Amino acid sequence: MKNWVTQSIRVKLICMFLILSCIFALVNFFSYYSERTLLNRINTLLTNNIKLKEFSADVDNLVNALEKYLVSRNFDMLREYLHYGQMIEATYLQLTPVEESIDNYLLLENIKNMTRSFLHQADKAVQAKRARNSEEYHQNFMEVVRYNTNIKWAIDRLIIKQLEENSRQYLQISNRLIYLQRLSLYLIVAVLIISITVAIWTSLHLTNPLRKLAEAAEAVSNRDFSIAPLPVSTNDEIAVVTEAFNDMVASITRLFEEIKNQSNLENRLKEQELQNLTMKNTLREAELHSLQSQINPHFLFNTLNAGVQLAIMEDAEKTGEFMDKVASLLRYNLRRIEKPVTLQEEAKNVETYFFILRTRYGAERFSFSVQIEAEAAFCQIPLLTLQPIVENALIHGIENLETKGEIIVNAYRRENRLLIEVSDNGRGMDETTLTRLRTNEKLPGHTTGLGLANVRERSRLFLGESCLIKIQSAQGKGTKVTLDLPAVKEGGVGIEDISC
Amino acid sequence: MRFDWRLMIATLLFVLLLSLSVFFFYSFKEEPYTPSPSSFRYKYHFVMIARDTDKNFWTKVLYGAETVGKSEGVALEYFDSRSADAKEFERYLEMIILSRVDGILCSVPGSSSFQSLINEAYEKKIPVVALDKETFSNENLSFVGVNSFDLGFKNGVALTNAVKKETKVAVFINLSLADQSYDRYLQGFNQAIKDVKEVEVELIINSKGESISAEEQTQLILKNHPEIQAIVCSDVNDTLGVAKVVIDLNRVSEITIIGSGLTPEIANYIERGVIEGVHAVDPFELGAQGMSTLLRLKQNRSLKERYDMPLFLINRDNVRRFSNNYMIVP
Repeated sequence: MKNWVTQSIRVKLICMFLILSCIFALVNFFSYYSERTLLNRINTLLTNNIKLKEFSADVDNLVNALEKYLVSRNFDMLREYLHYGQMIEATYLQLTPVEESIDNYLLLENIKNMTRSFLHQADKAVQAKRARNSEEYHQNFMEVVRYNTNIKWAIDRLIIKQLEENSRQYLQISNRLIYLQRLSLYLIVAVLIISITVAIWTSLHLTNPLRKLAEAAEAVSNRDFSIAPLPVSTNDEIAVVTEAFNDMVASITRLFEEIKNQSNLENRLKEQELQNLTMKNTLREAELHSLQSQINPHFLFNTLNAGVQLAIMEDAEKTGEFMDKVASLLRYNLRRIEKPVTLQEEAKNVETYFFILRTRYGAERFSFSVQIEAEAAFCQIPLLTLQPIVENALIHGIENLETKGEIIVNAYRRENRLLIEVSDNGRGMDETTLTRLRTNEKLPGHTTGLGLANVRERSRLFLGESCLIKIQSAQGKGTKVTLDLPAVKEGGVGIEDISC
Repeated sequence: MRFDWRLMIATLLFVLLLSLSVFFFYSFKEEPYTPSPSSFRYKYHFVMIARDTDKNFWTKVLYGAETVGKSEGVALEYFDSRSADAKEFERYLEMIILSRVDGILCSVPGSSSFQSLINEAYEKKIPVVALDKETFSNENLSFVGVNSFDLGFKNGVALTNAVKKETKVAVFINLSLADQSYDRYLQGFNQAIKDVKEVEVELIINSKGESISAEEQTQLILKNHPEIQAIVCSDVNDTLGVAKVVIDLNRVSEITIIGSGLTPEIANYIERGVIEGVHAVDPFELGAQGMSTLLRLKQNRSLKERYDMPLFLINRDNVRRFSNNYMIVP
């Protein structure tokens, strides 16, 4: 069975076809052969009987002709007699029985012997007639008649015997034929059933794999690559196609994975690019902001220096100091924004800012204090982290305050976090404003600073995570902004110089 | 195309089967059969023709004749006359005589037509041997069979041995016997009972040699002649008919039957005590002797022969042995 299954479809089909054809051909041939035998037998028998009967008729005719000749001496009758005589002479020795049986053969021998004597006697009659010996020819004729009767009787007997024997044989053969026909009918039915079964089995065997193949192909076309490889149990053409299909699905799945991976990679790269661009934008924004605040740095510096010198020359120490601080602030603002600074430096800048503010508004108007813990002093933070917040506190908090405004900057370390608090006793914010700030919305009104969003963004860029900005405020009760940054020591995290 | 040997074999098989079938078809195209002259080689064409009233008997006679004839190259034609009437019987005899066969073994009625045919055969120099019964009174005819006088005598002896008291006897004689034979049978019988005073022939009945007519006659006799206590038959069918009637009339113990010829039925009757005993010949031996005689005649080693077959008395003591010995057709 295994061998059959692994044959190619062509071989299977051809073998099946050949076997069925052979069976049918054999059955048909045997049936045909039997019928032919039967017909031949009957044919032989009837032909033989006809021959015997014809012979018998010839004998009769001869006797008739002889009688007529003897009566009338008619030469036509004589010719007829001679004609029949010749015919009988020619044929009687060729008479054969149908069956090879001794009895029939002997009976035929008797007939032949009698015929010989009969012809002899007839000739004697004719001669006697010629010799005009009426008594003799009469006697001879009576003998001829006697022979005729016996010959006919013997022929009839032979025909009947042959008929009886052949009837028996005919019945035998006929029964055999009927049996054979019945057998072939059963055989045909059996072969039909077998061939239908085999046809169904073979076609299922062909169509099942094809159907599974079609289903699998449809699944693949619907992008379902999770189908299991189709089983291959045969070695025929179907197997070839199935294996090729399995390979194809595997290849597609593999390629798909590769493309997915590549795409993921590309996506990540794009994300990275986007981040970089955003950072650049942010930086540029910062730069722009910082540049916005500058008209011409060199001019300003020189102007301020000239102012400082002038103040010194005019003994206006305060003015000189004031202008020096302004220059210092300006210088700090123009530093490279991507380079992080220490908290200490930033605090120093804030103090310079406070000095300027005191000078502007008067020492009585505002009070500023900066308190930095020693551990926190050398933590790295982005440039201009504190200043915007302090600016905010000033602008939104205490600028229009009736009473003395206060801004306190506090910085300390908690484990690995750097906490910077900027608190003021200003107007505070209402809930709406608070919410807006928290969600990074741009506040209407006067804004020249970088804004909290910028601080958040830059801290994310520089420190790897955005700093947490906690804003506590209540209307009329002041505001406290807390920056929660990762504490990074100098030489720790820093980003590479990103040049455009 | 990859060479596939299985495909090759299958194709070859198919071609082979096809050609075999074609061969069968043509080889069995039948021609009319012509027996070759050599298939039936024989030296003499003899015919055995018998009035076959007892098939059992004549089958064995035929077998005996065939057995002897085979070694001498004899083709023996046998006329199966079971269902033939007398006319057909005659016709057959006439035919074989006209066919100038080499020899005839016959057991035919002694009527005039048969007589003339037998004479014709003799004139045509066809040797003829009469079998079994002396139906012909032809002096030229060879005979192998039962001597009538002998049969009559033996029947009488058997009867006298069988009966111890005064017995009146009815004697059935077959009419088919030739006149002389008829007389000789009676002579023999009388000779046997001549010194036995107790036995007396009351009736002589001419039988046709048919069982049914014998039954009829027996019934009449026993009805009209109740004093009859013994019946003697010279023919096998008479014996059967008489026995049947005696059984039917329930007179088995009263009537002694002496008969001729042995059949399974008669053997049965002998065993049952219906028939006292019969005289019979060995059929095989009859056939064999008949054939030997005919051969000798044909070969001109003798001109006329007569052989009286030995008669066996078969009674209850030996009926089994005889039945087994020569009633089984080999």
